[in-house]
Amino acid sequence: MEKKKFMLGYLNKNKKAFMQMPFAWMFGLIVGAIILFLAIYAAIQLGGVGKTEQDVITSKDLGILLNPLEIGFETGKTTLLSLPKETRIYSLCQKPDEYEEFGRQKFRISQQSFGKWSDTYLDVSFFNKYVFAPVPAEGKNFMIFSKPFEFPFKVADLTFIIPLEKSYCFVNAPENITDEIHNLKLTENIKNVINKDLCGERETVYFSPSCAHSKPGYNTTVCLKEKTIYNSSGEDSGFEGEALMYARIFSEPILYECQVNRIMARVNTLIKLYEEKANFIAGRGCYSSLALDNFRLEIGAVIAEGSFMIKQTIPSMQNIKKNNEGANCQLW
Amino acid sequence: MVNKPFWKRFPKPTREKGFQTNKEKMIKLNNKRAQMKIQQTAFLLIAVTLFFVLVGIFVLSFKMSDLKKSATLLEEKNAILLVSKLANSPEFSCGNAFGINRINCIDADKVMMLKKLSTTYRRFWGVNNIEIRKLYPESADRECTRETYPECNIINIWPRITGENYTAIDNFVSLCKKESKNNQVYDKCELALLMVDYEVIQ
Repeated sequence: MEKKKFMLGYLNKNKKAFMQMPFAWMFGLIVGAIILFLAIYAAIQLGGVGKTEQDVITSKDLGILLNPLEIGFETGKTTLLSLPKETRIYSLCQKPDEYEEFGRQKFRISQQSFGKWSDTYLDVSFFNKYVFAPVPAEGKNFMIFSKPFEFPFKVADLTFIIPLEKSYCFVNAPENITDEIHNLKLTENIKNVINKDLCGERETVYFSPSCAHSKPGYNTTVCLKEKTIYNSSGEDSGFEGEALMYARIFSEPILYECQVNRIMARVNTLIKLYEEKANFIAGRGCYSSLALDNFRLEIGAVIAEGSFMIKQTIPSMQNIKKNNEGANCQLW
Repeated sequence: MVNKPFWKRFPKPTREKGFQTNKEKMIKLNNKRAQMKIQQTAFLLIAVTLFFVLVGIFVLSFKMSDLKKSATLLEEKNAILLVSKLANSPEFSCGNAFGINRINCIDADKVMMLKKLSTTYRRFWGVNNIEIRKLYPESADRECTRETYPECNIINIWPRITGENYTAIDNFVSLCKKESKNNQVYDKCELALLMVDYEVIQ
């Protein structure tokens, strides 16, 4: 009987031990798995944050590196941007509103690593930049060039980003444009031809001395006399000067219209600045009677209705330019 | 007969309060051991969690300090590149207002008016302040306002904030303005320093 009791006790103890061991193991395994999962999750998250951080730094760097493209004497500047990885540059635009009088130029960068594009959701904003590019501009090397926009005073330097792989074909372009492309060393990206058959797979831009609609078979049609650009789907945009013409050729209509809105908001503020200056220097006997009120109203119409209203402002703009050149004291 | 275990065949002994059988003592001892084990495990878990939290805090603070350093470097880079080209932006540049088109030339009359529009331009260049300080001919420091201009030598676009967190990058420019003497208007250009203040993120 005592032996039986001993056996039962032994079995009971062993049963407990048998139950304790798996519990310890199971507990260890569960806690270990949780810790391992958390560690992996944290590492992935940190890696993601690191990628986003890198994208944001590159975006900010890109905006900062555009500063030297601010133009002094020159009529244009070109530089080559080489990035270590395949990169997608998203040039985005935010229209001016009651809080931000000049709107915003935003950059979003996505870089390829191990064949996968980083998923960036953070934009870096600049208020004094106007960048025109295909959205997205994709590649490792990009041609960046800038041109000043004058209306009639200098308003801003417009920057254009073209991936080195992307190429355009200008058909029937006027001599001043072909010369400029050559001087800006953009001949790798832009081919000047007379016949479309020589374009190959390039994006085609047709220059017409005068036209009222897009030319069939071309991606873009530039009507030089009418100062209007049509894309293949028939959407039209107005322009003035070569800088805005390039702007429309190298970017989508949505980006172009938004940037024109921002540029015109700056024109409006510069009109205020020159009006103030005119009154200020008049006190020292320096007169420059320019009627800027009407021009301001016309600029307001461009801001409200879009780029096709630009051509309405050209007579006033030319008149102001002439008056300033002939003034006792030039304002700009 | 029911085959009961032998210890169940006897009635339970009555006992006084506080009296414990050996079995009860054993159970209590086992309970204590189990409690100790649970406590040990709990402490271990707390220690492991604390360890990971500390490691996490360390990694985050390291990354944050790295991020702040990058941000300051970018601010500095922006200020350096901006100061070299700011004089050519339309709000500052002389253009053709002083005869010929000059490079790195600031129109002082225009900048004085820019001070009036300073709220509109507050975030435009992404810097804390822009200061133009006339260097030559030398004169005593005097801030330019509508009242003191042109008998002054410092133009601040925005009120200057001084302190450890702010630092400036400068560039030489020519500062031109229209002046009049005996009803004759003439151009006056002087040597000046264009300074761009940026914030050091700490």
